[in-house]
Amino acid sequence: MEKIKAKKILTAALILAAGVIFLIWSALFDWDKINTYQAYDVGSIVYTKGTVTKVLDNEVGKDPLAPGRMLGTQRLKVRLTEGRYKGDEIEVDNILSQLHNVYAAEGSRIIVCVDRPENVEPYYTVYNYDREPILAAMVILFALVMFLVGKKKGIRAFLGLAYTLGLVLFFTIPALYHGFSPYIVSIATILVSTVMSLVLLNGVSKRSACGMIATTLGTLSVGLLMIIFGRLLHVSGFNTTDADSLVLVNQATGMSLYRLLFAIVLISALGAVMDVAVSLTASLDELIAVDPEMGPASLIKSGMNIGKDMIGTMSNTLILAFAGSGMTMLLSLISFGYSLRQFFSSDYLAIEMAQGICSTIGVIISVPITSAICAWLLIRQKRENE
Amino acid sequence: MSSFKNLKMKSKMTVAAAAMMMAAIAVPTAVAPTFDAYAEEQTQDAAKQTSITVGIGADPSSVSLTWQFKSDQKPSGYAIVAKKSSLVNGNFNGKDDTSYSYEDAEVIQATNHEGYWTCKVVLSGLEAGTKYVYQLVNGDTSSPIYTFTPSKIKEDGSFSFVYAGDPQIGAYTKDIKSTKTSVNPGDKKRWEKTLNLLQYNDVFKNISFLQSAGDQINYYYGNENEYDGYLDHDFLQSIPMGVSVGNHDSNSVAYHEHFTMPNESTSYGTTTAGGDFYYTYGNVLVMNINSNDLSTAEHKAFMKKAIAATDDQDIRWRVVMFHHSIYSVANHADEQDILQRRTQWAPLFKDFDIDVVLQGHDHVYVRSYMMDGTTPMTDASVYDDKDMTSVTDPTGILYVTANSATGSKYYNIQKKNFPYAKVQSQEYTPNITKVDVTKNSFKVTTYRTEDMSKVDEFTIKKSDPQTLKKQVADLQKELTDAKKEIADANEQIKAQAEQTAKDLKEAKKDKDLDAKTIADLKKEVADIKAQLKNASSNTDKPAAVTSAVVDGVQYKVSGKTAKAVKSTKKTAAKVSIHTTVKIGDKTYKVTAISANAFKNNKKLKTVVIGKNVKTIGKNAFAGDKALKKVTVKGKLLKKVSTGAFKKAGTKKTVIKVPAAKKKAYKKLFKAAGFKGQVK
Repeated sequence: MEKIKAKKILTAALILAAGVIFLIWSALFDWDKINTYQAYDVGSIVYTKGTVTKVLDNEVGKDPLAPGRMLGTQRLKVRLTEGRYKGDEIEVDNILSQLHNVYAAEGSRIIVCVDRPENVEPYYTVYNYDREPILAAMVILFALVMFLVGKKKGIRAFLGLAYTLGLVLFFTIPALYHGFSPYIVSIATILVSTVMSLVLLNGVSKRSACGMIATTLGTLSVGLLMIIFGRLLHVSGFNTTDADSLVLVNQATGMSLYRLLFAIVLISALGAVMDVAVSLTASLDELIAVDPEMGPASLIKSGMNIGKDMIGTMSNTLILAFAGSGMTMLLSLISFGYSLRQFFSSDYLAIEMAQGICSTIGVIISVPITSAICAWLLIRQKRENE
Repeated sequence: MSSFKNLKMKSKMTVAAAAMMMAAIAVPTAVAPTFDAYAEEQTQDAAKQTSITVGIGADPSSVSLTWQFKSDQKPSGYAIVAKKSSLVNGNFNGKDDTSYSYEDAEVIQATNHEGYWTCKVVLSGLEAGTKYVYQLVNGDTSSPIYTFTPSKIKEDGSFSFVYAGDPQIGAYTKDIKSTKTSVNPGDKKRWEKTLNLLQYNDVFKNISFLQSAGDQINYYYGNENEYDGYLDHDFLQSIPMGVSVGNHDSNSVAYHEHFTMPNESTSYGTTTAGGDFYYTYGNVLVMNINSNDLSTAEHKAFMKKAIAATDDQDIRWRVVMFHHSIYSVANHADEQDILQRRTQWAPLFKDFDIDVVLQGHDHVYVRSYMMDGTTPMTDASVYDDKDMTSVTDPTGILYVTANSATGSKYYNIQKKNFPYAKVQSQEYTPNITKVDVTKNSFKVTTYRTEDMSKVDEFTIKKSDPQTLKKQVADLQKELTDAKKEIADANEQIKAQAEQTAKDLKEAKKDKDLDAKTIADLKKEVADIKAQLKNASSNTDKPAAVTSAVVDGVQYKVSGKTAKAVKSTKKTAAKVSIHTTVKIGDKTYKVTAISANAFKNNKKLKTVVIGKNVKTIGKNAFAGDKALKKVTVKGKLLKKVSTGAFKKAGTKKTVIKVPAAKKKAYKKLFKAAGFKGQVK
């Protein structure tokens, strides 16, 4: 047993190492060598952290529409605290308006947009508050809670999450931007992410294998549904917001706007599908441990029963997530007297529904898929043991 | 056995995992995309000059000529320019004619257009209103002869120009699925239609130049087919044209290889296509900035320079033009880069006192309210009329976004509230904007090219500077006068305050009101109350005024005459009893001095008794120990009652009387207790 365990750990280590190497390679790879497109020249602009050392002038008054908000103009003395202009003391006019309102006081930590072309008088504006410390603290808190509640596995889950995030940032997005096929890129992303997350979580085991295969198949089914319904609804990447700027990227790098929606849906569905697949696999594995004599038919039946509860809550999650994110949009639509028919035939709703429903259906289908795979892999394994 | 199975299971897994990883790595590199260059439909170009365009010059006396020529080797190039009047039979009369000008061209390789060379010539010193001709020569090839006439600016500074929103030749494609673009010939025709309007329609009869809002073409690499669709039009060989750098032009050198703009900066606002440039026309300074460069610092430095460089010219209107509208309402309205420009540039334009900003990019027509920085001026009182069709001497800036001049692309207006938009229009039909300028007015009129009906019209008026100067002088004078008035009033108030303080001081001295006087006063009050009662019960006649105080002496009406009743100040040193006195609106003769009138006025020294006094009452001056001199003016004194002068004055006291009455009066006074002398 010791030997087997050691081998398992070794295999796991190898897989993880391979994943990390892949991530680092993606981050270091010079994507711009393939092709490049930048819409605007921002070469002379650097967003730099700074601390307000003095408020020189404070011509502000209360905003009648939003108590607690000030409108007007401040003149600030700011010391830049990082980057190539570190240590510079600059003066900035900070205009507080309805839409752009960064009220500063002495000691405020802000981000300054530093526009310093060569041989040109510099131009400074206050971009926003420096939120980095708070954001960092939130992430640390998150990790802490993961650890406190999940112990070792919590940390591993956290690492898996960090890896997936890194994968999307350093591989998926550059690959899509530089024109690689969204089908291939998104499928690769979910494969790598699934393998890494599950190996981290459960090491190399039958449970992991089951989870991996079930997740992959479940997510692919979401993708398939999206292709079908996307065609029927006449939606594609073109109907998303910001599509217009992306047209130019398409002209430059060949990034496919049309197929982009597929990638978007696939990656956003991954989490939910993995959740169902892994949870169900764990439950079914426990059942087998309790009753080693269990046959495939009854295992699948048990899987379906367990799954029924899961899909109830899972579909709630997905639909409510949509409602939450669409809240501001819905509120403003009401104010403009958007007719119901208009709303139901809008691009926005089509895409949101397609995403939401295809993901949910995919998740639901994952239940029988997972059950079947578990029956195939786990039971056979047991039988072979005898 | 079990270990083998386990191994099998494990190795299966490992292989599966490894395979997945390798696939994930290998696959992307295997399918790195290739994409074709733009489709090129170049047929055999006979050696000739192509893409000929007249570019707007630094001022009305200058223009540029830009053209392309196909050649294996770098060709020589020049332009022959002359006044049309110097042509002979419509031809140049040979090289030696000194009235012709030979301008050598700057020749550069047209890297975006394989096999072609770009030639650029800048002409200056042109006379307004004169017909010129030009011919382009490269090596042995000469172009046809083209004409153009630099337009004349009238005395009142009036001229007009046309502003065309995104022509974007090549954008009219229904669905872009591949990386290839297909140039729809329809766009070239649509642009031709708009240019024909400008060439032949009466409304545009005397326009001086044409300015495009950017995105002249569509394919970002600069599809030469699209440039041909934009430039291959007769009209463009005879009217100066300015072009802005749009986001579809910015990343390609093709823009630079087809256009030559005046005063173009090589350090401010530069992207691959070009940089910020400016020109003046009449009283207008046009600063055209490349909004693809987000560096506000550069644009600020550029505008500062341009304004300083034209400081000696009579610039009445500062106009900024750029592609990415910062105040629009369609697809691009709220994008991150637009918001960044809006928050940084709107205050900048305010600092530079810009009058009008002309833009494009959003393929919709928008006219903003007059903008105070980023705040819309929505109060109708700012404008000349409640419909806000014009404004006079505004403090704000007008932002106009032009819709596509060819109709190659339209964007839908977003269902949102845009607080800065006064007029928004999307009718899916091409628009063209005409700007009429005079020294004191700037009118922006937008038409539908389909039928030349108006979409919108707005005028900015400015008062004549002389009028304004006079107004300022008048206001300053008013201010000075008002200031003086205030100063005077302050002086008066100060003096009055001092006097009042003095009086108060005096009044405080007079504290001794002896009981008698108080009693007298109380009686007076009772009398007055009674009178008032009479008066109020008598509603037919208003109560008559029955007493008055004159010179410190109170007089009362007594029948048809008045009598002196007392002095208001018991400590008065001098008392003068008048001949007549006005009580109410009647004048009465003072014929008597009441009893006790001046009794015990211990400080009383001098008394003057008026001409009409007949009677002096009992004890009138009794007890006036300080009495020194009494002057009796009149001859009517008949009665001096008992004790009138008892203890009044001393032996030295003198009563001066008219000589004729000396004897009679002496008797009277002595009888009344007077101890002094009557003279």
